[in-house]
Amino acid sequence: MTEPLLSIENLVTEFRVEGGVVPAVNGAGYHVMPGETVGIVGESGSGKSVTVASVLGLLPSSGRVVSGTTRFAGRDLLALRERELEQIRGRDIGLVFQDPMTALNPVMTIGEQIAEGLRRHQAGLSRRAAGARVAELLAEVGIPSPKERARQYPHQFSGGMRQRAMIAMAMANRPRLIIADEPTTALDVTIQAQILDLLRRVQREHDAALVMITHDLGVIAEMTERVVVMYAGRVVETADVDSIFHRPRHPYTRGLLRSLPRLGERRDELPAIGGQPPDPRRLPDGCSFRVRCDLSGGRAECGFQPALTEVAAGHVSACHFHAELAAEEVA
Amino acid sequence: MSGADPLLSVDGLVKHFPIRGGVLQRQVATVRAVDGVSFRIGRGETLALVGESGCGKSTVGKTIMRFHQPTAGTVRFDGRDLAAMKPRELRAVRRDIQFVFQDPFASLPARMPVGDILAEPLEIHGVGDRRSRRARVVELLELVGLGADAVNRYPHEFSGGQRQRVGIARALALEPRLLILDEPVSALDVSIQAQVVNLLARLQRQLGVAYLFIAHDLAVVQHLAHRVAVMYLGHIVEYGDADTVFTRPAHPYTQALLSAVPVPDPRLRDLDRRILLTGDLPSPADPPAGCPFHTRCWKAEERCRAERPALEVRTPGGADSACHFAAEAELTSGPAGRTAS
Repeated sequence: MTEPLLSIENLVTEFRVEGGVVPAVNGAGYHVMPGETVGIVGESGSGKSVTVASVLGLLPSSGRVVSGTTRFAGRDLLALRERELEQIRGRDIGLVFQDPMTALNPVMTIGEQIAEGLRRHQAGLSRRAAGARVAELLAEVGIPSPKERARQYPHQFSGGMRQRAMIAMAMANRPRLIIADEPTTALDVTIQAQILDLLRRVQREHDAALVMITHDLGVIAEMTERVVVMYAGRVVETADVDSIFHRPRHPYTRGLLRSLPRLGERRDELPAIGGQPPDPRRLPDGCSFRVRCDLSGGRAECGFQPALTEVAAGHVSACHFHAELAAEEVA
Repeated sequence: MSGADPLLSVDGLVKHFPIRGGVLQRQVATVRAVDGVSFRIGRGETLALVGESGCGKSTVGKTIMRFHQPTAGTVRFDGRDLAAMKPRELRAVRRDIQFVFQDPFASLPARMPVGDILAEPLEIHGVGDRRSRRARVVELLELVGLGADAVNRYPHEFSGGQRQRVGIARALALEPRLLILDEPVSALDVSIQAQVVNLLARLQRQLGVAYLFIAHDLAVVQHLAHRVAVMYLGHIVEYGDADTVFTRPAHPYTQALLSAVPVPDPRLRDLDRRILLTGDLPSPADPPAGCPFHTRCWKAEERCRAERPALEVRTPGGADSACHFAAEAELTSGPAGRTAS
């Protein structure tokens, strides 16, 4: 069997705050196969972005990985020095963030920034060759007049064009993995459609794996093959995309899908999940979702942390009562 | 809408912002944020104003509230022209029209307990005495699904969804007849959005308050709106009954917008129903001549570059549409299968 390209196991990450530490990731794990598209879905406080930041060494200074193992292409990422991690980021792993304005350097032209990324990872690449490659990359991501646009600064680009430039930068060194963290959340829906289309295309052409982190279940449904659902710093369900959307085996996943307003169907009342998103400073004992859960009914089992259990081939759920959802099929 | 006077009628509303430049700060250009917009809202009804960033939808809301002076056009509330009102009358109307912001954290005073935040509009307008105001605050908290014990807590102690409930309670304090809601659920988590959408629907049934619902999330809009106005570059391009606009849109922009919404069902993803628009939104400081949408429209012909289409009924039983070539497309019931390029 093929080895996963990326695997994360039992990751624990915490943040130092005034008066103590706050857990952000509480033993999360998942894997990504070569060429695969995996969606990581969760709300604020779910730990979906912190998990990736932990793995890539991009935590803010108040954050710390307490324990866990991660492997990327056979190497233990958590054991690497910053210099070595830098080599991997931007070469083997391309990153696309929600807000390209904070990821791009405002005082460097778009072309200079992409060229810098190229030359850092490709020793001996001449200035001229880098310039030619920059124009090629910008053309590839659909930026018109690429040679002229390369000489412009980020603020001269629209939001959609900046996101295209960031994708060009992420793809520059032909990464094996692209990690996109809410890449279209700040964009309008017609521009989002363009960017999703572009991500799909570059991923296919480069044969790279794609990790898509988003709160938007529509984006997950359109883009991914496999889905990891996170809640309160843990993975609560993982399955192929069809199972997640049509045969969810965790009450949180089911609740999210039910509560979603959908185009083309109008209901008098949306079946909302009750309560508030988890506050990492005050997580309940046992299953973190039990205080909002409509399946638990206050049963004693929920006072204990449920283990991730395989409920079907390739489908795991962290719910004591996953079997009670087995008969349901969501249309 | 009934034949009676609408609650709000907006006619030919224009809001231009000057761009100044150079050492003399002369006006060098004009941003045509809202460029001649007309619509009605009936009593107890929800009109959704939808469109992408820069289309002018928020400016419409703020101009109605007189956060901005309109450049031209009239706004009538309950049959009376707001521009012709004396300051005292305008203050009275302001009680009737309240605003709910996208980010409840930014719009709520951080150092005030929730009880004081809710009592403040009552005090300013001299409603009741201390005791009756306190009772009203508790009533408001219960109305929006927060307990009376919220009175002594501060905004930062609440989650985003709870803060938005406080924002809604404050807007309702003076029993307004119209709420202008500017992206009220966009900043909320998915599981909390549904709670607030349900709350807004319930409050309207219970109180008969009308909503101008400004939003970009079309699935949420479809859930709440009776009627919809779709904006593009300062103009309304489609306007009508929500069911009609959502199931049989006649304007190409509405069709593209609806088709671009990602569908939360992986079984529908390969249907190729998406109309992919090319290019970016033109600048409202330099809008195209003729139809504002022609630079991105796959139907555009010479006429569209020269002549701006009027907003009128163009298909039998359809919504008003500002397109020379308006033709209904059924989008939500199946694949349309077209790509614009």
